[in-house]
Amino acid sequence: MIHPLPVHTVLEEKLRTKRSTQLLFVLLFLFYLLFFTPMLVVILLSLDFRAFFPLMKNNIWTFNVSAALIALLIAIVHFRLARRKTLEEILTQLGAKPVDPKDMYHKYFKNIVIEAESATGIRPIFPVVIPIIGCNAFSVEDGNHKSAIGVTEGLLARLDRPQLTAVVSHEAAHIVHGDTKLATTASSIMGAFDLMRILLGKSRGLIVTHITKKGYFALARPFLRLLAGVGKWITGFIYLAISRKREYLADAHAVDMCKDPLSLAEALNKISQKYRGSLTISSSYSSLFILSPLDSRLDEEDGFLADLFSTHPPVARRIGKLMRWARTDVLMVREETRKIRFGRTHPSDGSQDTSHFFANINGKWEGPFLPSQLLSMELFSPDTWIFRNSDDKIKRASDEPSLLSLFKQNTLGMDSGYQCPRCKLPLVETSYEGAPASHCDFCKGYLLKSGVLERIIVRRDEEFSEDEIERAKTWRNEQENVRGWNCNLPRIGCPICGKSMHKYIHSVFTMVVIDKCSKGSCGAIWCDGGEMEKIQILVEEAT
Amino acid sequence: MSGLIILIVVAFAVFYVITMYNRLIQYRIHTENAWSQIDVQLKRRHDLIPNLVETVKGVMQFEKETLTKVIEARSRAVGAASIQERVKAEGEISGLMGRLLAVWEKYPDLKSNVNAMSLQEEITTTENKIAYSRGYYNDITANFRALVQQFPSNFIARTFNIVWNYPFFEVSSVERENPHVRF
Repeated sequence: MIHPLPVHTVLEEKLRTKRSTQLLFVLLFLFYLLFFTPMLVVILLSLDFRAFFPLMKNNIWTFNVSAALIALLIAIVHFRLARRKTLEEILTQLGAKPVDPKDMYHKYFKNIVIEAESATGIRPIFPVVIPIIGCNAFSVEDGNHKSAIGVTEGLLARLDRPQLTAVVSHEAAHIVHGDTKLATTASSIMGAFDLMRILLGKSRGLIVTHITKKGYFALARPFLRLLAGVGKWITGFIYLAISRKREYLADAHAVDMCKDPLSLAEALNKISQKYRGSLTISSSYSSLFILSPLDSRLDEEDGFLADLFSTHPPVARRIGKLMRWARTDVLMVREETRKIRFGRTHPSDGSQDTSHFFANINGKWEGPFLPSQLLSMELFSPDTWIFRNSDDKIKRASDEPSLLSLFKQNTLGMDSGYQCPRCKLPLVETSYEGAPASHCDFCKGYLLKSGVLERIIVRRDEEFSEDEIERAKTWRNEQENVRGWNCNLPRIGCPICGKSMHKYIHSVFTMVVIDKCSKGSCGAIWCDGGEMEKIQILVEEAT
Repeated sequence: MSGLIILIVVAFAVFYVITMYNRLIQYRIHTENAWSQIDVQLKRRHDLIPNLVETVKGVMQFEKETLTKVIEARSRAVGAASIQERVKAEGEISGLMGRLLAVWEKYPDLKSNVNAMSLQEEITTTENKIAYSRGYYNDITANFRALVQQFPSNFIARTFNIVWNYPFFEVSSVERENPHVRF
């Protein structure tokens, strides 16, 4: 069931962002025209084109308008040339391939893209997949109005259907808004400035000074080159500011389309925690993606400098906005459910029922339930979004003390005294291959103290099925492109000493990324669910 | 000079009338197109329903009543005499299908059946396409209605007899009920 959002919330964001991006776009054009006119004046003066002097002296407005028209013509020609690139060329450069109709995941993705066609009225939108393990998504449109939405294999494997729908809605929103056209326009203007810089280059300048009677052009050339360079930089900054605002606008439109802000928040959170494909995706296309593949810390920051140099707004801010809209969604769910269960004759008494919760199961809000009912649900986990009947604060189940205590009670085994850095639940003491380890019953992650992983790797008590071995090898073969990757994504805290854990590639053999306490700290290692088994299998197979 | 000004004003007025008339026609075509897109998805759903009922009737013992209602609503939708009747019947089908999909996870026999899971995906995507198409249709028809009723485009609409008489899709009472999750 799709819950309608209060239109004014998302619409307000859309209108506000649309107004500010339109303003920025006008600023971009005005700036370009304003810059070009003095450059033209200097060029005419230094080349001694006396025919224009009376015009400049007697009718400055006509001269300005003419200069602006010439600038516009140059920009339009450049724009048309830039837009000639076809969709196929762009997708080839990105390494994207058509979906495989026999693959179940690809089929789901294709269905979701067709749903996006229904939601936007844009047909056709080609679904494509980049065969890399990174997590990311993009949309692109060429000059012939052919468009495509693409995801990486890593994203398909990690997101569920509601999250994938939210991501595809975001990308479809970019196509609806014509953001690719905007990107091409901005790069055309920057290209026009670049062209001027090249034309004003040393060799050409010398040729021109030979032509003019006086060497004014040689004097003016450095100034003109500086103007063109500054023009290009400032255009770039304005475009980056536009780019950030467009991401917020696309988020708002996506929520409007799929009516599921929580799933989009979850998807952004998951993508931000993973490798985004920086080594395989060209930096010139980074602005096309839902999160920048470049793993820059600047993307996670706010402020003037971040706005100048970063194409994407901070993930935390985007998730915060989505959570605010979800809260509004949640209020409506509660109101509707109260009416259905108790009938319209029962007054909305604002009852302080603190014992019941609503839970977001598979993208739908269900409830209200008692905590014991929640825990008996198969799909309920510490990561599930919930809110209490008496307030509208949405949080993870593991952040609710009453549910946390029930999770703890349900944990089988001895409490190791440490907390899972993902689920925030107690880790259970266990033994793996005879070595002491702490295990999370929910996310299946392992905490190993310094030196324990090396013991586990060399021991061979644990046996693995042929399927598990084959899957690990296939996964390893896909990691070839990740060699040498170093990551500065948000880190988890060490459950033992509390310091930040860094991400490391375990070894060239395995290419498994683990979290390790830095040198000088306790040296503990955190392996997410399945990572330790992968390391074991791959080392055993290789030795 | 005054003659030139009058000429400019008249030219502007003629230009405005032509532009607005074309815009009204465009909206009308888009509205009809959006409606036919919904029709395509509804017909697809009609084709899927018999297959769905056949696949799940032996497994979903607690949903026999819902399955019967789905078949009846489908018959009413296919044989509807008016748009209003059809919209009502299709709304009921949407609500009932939503219930079936919500409780699908509770039947392990269905989850382990590859054909059933494939059918579930087909139904899920068809329901989503219907919902999105309806939302898109509602947006387009709202814009068309605004154009027909707002000043000054309402004059042009009345002059050329362009009327707005398309229904909005609303959520039916069946759809408003949350499916109950059983333990």
